[in-house]
Amino acid sequence: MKLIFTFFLIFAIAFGNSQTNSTDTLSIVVTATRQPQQASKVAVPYMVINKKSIQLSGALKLNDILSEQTGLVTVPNFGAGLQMQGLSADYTMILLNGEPLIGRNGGTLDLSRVVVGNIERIEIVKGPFSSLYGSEALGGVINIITTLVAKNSLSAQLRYGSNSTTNSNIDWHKKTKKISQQFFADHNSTAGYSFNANQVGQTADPFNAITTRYNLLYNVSKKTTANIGLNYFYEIQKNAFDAGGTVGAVNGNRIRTDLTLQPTITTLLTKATTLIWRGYYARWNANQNLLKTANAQPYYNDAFQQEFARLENQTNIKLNTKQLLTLGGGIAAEILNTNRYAETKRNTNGFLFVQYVYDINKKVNIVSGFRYDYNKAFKASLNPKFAIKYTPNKKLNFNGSIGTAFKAPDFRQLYLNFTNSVAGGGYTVYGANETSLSQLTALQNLGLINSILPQANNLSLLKPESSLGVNIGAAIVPAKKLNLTLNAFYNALNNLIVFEPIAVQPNNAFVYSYFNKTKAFTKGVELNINYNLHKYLAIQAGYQHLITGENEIKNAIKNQTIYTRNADGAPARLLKPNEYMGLFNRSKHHANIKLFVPENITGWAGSFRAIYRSAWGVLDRDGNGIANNNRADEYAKGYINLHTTIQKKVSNIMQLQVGCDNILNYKDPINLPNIPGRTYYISIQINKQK
Amino acid sequence: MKTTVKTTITAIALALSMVVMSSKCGKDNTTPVQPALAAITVSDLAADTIIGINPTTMQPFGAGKFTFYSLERNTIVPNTDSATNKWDIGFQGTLIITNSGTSFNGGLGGAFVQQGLFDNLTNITNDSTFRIDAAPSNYAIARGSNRAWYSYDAPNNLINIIPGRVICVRTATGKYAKVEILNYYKGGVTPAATASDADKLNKQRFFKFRYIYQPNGTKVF
Repeated sequence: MKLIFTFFLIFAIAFGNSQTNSTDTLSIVVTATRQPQQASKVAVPYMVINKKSIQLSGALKLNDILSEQTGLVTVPNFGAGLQMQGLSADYTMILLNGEPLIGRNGGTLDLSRVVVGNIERIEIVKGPFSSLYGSEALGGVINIITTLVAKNSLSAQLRYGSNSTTNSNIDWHKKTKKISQQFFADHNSTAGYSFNANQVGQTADPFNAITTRYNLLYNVSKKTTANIGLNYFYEIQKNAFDAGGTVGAVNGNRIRTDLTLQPTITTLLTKATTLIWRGYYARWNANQNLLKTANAQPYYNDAFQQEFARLENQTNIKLNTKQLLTLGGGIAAEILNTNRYAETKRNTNGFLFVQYVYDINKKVNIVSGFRYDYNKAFKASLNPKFAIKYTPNKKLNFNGSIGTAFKAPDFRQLYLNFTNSVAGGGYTVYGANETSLSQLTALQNLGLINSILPQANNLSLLKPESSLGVNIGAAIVPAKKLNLTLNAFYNALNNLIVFEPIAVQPNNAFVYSYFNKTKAFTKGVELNINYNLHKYLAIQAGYQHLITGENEIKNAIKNQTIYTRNADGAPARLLKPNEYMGLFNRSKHHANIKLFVPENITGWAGSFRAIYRSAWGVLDRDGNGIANNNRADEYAKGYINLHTTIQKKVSNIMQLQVGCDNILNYKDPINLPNIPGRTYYISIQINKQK
Repeated sequence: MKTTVKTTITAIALALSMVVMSSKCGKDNTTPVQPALAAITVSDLAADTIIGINPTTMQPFGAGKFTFYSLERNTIVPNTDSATNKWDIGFQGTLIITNSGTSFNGGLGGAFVQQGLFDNLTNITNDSTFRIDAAPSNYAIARGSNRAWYSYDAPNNLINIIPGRVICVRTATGKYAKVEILNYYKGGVTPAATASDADKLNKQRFFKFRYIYQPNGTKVF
């Protein structure tokens, strides 16, 4: 880390005073302030992935393109979840055209359900953003933007690849003076793959999925525009596996659907005041039905429906040419219908936010604001943020930001009512809103609880998990077409929710519930280099150095009260501080080098991308509750993934692309079931501009 | 069920290690080296191993019997002697009982769990409190994941032994011993997280532990 800082300082001193053109003054970022902002003014770490690099990378799903970005790691856990600044998928927010995707399973929002076919650009802002977006925006926000109708066009793609993976889509854009429309339809299917031919079922199950996205922009008058977005996703996956024990093989299917409706009305109230009304409705369904293969008797049935509706107003007031005030507020309702919980769960949430953007002078601009979120199911949360950017010249700028963020307790933590009779003598888990000391006492009086443990006295309304995040960075243009950005981050997490025993049942089984308890941190440095070496060759390189841990464990290691065993059955010994691998699933090093060859006069283009991820902890085997690197069975090995594409424009409207992912054929069936071996694909792209 | 108890005796030179530690003083210590107490390792002690799975609850079950052990005599004590002070600790799945309280009210036994290393525990302090068994929820050696000597890995359905936990045992006759549980599975090796359910069920409830028994009635090891 020190080395990188020295590196950066040398650059800063050497190139700090000369003048050349900054590369990105023209580009716009909307996610950092919830309104179009010049990229050169963005005071937080950000990254924009454009359509061109998505296409050149041959990406099919959102996780394909995101996992190639510095510091973004895809973690397979109930789907492809995204880790950002060392914060897991539960703590990052994914937006589609500014509105949050819902439908998390085990905290993970499965990125593999989002196809990238009509994505115009992806904006990534890092650090805490609850001051604008509310819950879940701790590590940062990913905003997938599809709605940009520049001109009339019609494009289509047909793709076929390994594991009988097919993708076909059409994307239609039409623009008139009054109305802009776009329609996108996509079909994606795969036969899946298996790492073990002798097993019942596959490692990755076959599925068929359809995505449709429609967007309509209507210029009602000179001052008013109305926009409506409609998105629908349907996926059916065939499941089969060995349930073990006396059950044996089971099979069935899982159907997931996602419907979202996004109406927006924007009115220019006065020259200086813009009024934006946003409505949002999202419905997520995930149903799984499994039968025992032997006798077709029901084995498992899970039905889950989440509905989310929100109405909000955002008012932008230009106080003068240098100051912009944004006021916002709204209400949201959520309904949960599932056979996992006793009854339908409802929650309503009210929020308001304020943001103040001030360009103090040509060199200094600031963004500050806060948001207040109130609801019934858990405690309220107030989250402020402050960001500043200092641009001494066009070749150099510095930015710093500090803010807090929160994550609402998830459904399990609030509403779970679950008894497991198989595992380790059985146990029962109650969500924090499903139990209380008085309820336990009542159960005890009925003889259903044997004894109440002291921890039950601490049962109360859960607080949201929270974080304080600091980002300090710089961007340097040390030479023509060379762009270097650096960011150091620190996230302090507080009130992390854990479950602990609260009572003992007559059969000796424990009863658990949820409590705010743990503190943790993630800190690191991120470095990105962009070098447009030649008109037809761009090099991008990135590196993230990450350190994470739980504060209590760090202290315990310091106090020499954490132990390990080098092998099963061996005597215990003290754990050395450098053996602690930090939070699970975190790699210390994450690096990438990407070469892009944009289309040249001969019509050839392509890309070559290398992504490296160092070892990460996956499991506790020696009973100390953490992953430590003295035991090879507690971590997954680091690996390199190489991908390439080559494409050729064969006519004015047609282009052929071939690609190979995972050239080195790296496989880790246990820890990376989401990465098949080497795969190939070929696609035909047709693009007609009118 | 056939039970094989493999007993190996390892000499632990505690006194020797103390000499090493004090040797930095550079002086010749003329104090005679005390004869080291032998640490005894017991392997594959079957503790109510699984004999079936309840078809309705899906819960695995054993015969419901304890395996009683005498630390003094380093041997299994037959179940017919359960109501005597011939045994010091008893094993049944993840439950370890002491010869005390509700387990046998005629016993002088008891226990408590201390954090630290087995070798470093050379003296159980005089003011330490031995607990006695109070079934079903207040055993001297607490039941449950992350409470005394094991943690339960629910996603993988495995019992891991928490390193750095020493069970201080007062025997049925009021002598003292220290015990370190080493493993819960046959052969002293925990099955892989990816092992089959059958493997995890069939290999569990086989204790590997080591202990030092102090016959002279003191709490010094």
